[in-house]
Amino acid sequence: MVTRDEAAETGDRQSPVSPPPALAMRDVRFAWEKAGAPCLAEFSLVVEAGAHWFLCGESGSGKSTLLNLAAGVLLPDAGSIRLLGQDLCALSASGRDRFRVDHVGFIFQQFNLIPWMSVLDNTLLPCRFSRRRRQRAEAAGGDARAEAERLLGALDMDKSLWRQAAMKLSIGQQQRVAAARALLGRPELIIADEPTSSLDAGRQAAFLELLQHECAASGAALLFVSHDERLAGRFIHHMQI
Amino acid sequence: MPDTQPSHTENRSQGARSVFRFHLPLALASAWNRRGTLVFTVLSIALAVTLMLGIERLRADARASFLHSVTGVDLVVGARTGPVQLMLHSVFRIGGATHDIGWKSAQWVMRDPAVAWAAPLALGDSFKGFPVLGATPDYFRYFRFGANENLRFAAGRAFSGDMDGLYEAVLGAEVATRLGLSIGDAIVLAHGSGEHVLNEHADKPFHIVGTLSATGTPADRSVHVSLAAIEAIHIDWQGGAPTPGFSVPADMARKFDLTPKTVTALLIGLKSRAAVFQAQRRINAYRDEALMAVLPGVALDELWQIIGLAARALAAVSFLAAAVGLTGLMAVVLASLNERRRELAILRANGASPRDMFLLLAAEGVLLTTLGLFIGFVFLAFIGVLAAPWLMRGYGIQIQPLALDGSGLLYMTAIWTTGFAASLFPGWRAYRLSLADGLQPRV
Repeated sequence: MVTRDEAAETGDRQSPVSPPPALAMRDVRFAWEKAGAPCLAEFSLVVEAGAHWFLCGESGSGKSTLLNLAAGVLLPDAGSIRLLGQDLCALSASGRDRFRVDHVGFIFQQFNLIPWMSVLDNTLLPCRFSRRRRQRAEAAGGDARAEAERLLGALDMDKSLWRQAAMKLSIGQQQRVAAARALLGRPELIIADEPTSSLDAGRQAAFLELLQHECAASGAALLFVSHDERLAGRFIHHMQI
Repeated sequence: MPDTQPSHTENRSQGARSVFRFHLPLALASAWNRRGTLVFTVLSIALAVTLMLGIERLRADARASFLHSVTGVDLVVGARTGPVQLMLHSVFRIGGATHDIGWKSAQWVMRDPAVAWAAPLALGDSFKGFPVLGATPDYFRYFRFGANENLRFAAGRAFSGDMDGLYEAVLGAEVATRLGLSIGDAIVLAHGSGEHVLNEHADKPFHIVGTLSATGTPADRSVHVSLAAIEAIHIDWQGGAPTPGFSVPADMARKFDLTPKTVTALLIGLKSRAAVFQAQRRINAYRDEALMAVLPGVALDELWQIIGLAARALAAVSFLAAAVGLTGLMAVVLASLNERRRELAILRANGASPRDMFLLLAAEGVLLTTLGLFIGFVFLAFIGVLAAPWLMRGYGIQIQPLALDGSGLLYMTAIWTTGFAASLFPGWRAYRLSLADGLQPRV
């Protein structure tokens, strides 16, 4: 178990025990209404541990549904979804909640920072709710706070902003806080849902660079969703939905 | 993934310490952030407490004040009539007595070996609509009200009871303040009661020697004179009117035998309360005159049942106040739901479990309702202390601003529970909504 974790952290896919894929969706079918046309049909996607994937699709193409399925918020009507080898259908609702916070970092379209909370406290949120994330953050940085500060620094957040309330930040700054929060505690999978849509092209590229760099550093797989095809070139793996 | 299960249980077992180290500070910070709205939540809880407990307090105290209109009196004796009517007349000075009782019978009762003291009362005259009570100076010693309190003089003294002080009067607090009378003023009593009396005892004016402090009992509305004085002013009267061609000047009256011929009622204190039923039976069985002895507590309670309509109305009002207070409380809490929903959804998206959310909301709910209850109780005590003298003077209700009885506690529990339940509701909603929203709480 320890070796597997360490392997995942270093992202070394050549290690003797090869880790399970971060996300494996096979023949997934999902319809919002049981009788209606399926939103996803016979959909398969395997994100190997540490791999960076780009998912592109117009709005209404089912991207959000896909992400909710991947995170175990929704369950498929047919097919299987495994996160890090764990069959999500086999877990209870609260079990999926727990599994999600332990192993998946989310970057939301609207960043979803708590406006009155400081940058640092927002970043530390997942460590409050997940002991695993906290222990992994402590393992990485000595203590969770130090690791959060390191990540914020790495994501170009000026030290003077760390104690500011999140609502005082610019969009770009909020986004970097959201990314730091998702990365803290080294979850094996980072899911980013249109995190760059409110940025101009130059800033998009810079943000993506930072994000990919940090994912690589922590060995996390990245599932990046956007409607903007221009970003596809920055990924080895992409898929159109 | 083999390490899922252990981490799952570990997370569960984080235990009570996390509540104080994490949930409570987070709940406090979040509440502080919404302080503008929460002030009103707390205020609405506080006002609900003040309203509900205040009205309930008033109701209970009005009843207690009424039931304690006369205490320390074991029996009230009068001519045979209904117990309620006897109480109405002798204690509340409302209505008239059908009969008086003869002095001989009164003396027989007063001589009864079980009797420790007796205060004979003569009613029937009035002064500007206020009843005139003929009594002995002992009356001021024996009459008790409320929590066994004596009548106290705000100024002056009791009438002397002897011939020199024949035309001395003591005014109840309300009479004195309402009519602006004070010691040394002269008053003329009227024959009969009610506002429109025709005949006055103008030839025998009284002068005021004392005024009583407010008691919240009928004593406040009474003019007290001696039994002999009552006899004196009627000495030249017959059948309710001055005897034509016969009048006795005030000073001359002193030379007559002023022993009362009749009295209206007797207040009796017994040597032993245990003897009360025996004494009652004895008096009721008196052969020479149809007497009746009633237990004032029982009769007052019976009377309260009759006039209790107002009290029942007050109870209904207090129930309505409770309903209004609690719905208002719910409304305020639910109105802040949207403000709260996004925050809770973000927490949930970041891994807050139902337990975490329950703890956060419960912490806030407990805090707000407890604070509201406390402030409401302080309000109530403050208002109570301020209003107590006014209620006493104006309405004769003795309130206990800090007392908390069973129904008060019940109300407080109801408010607390409602506040707490209402504060949990947003969490339940947010949890459901965030599931529906997926992991993207909408703004």
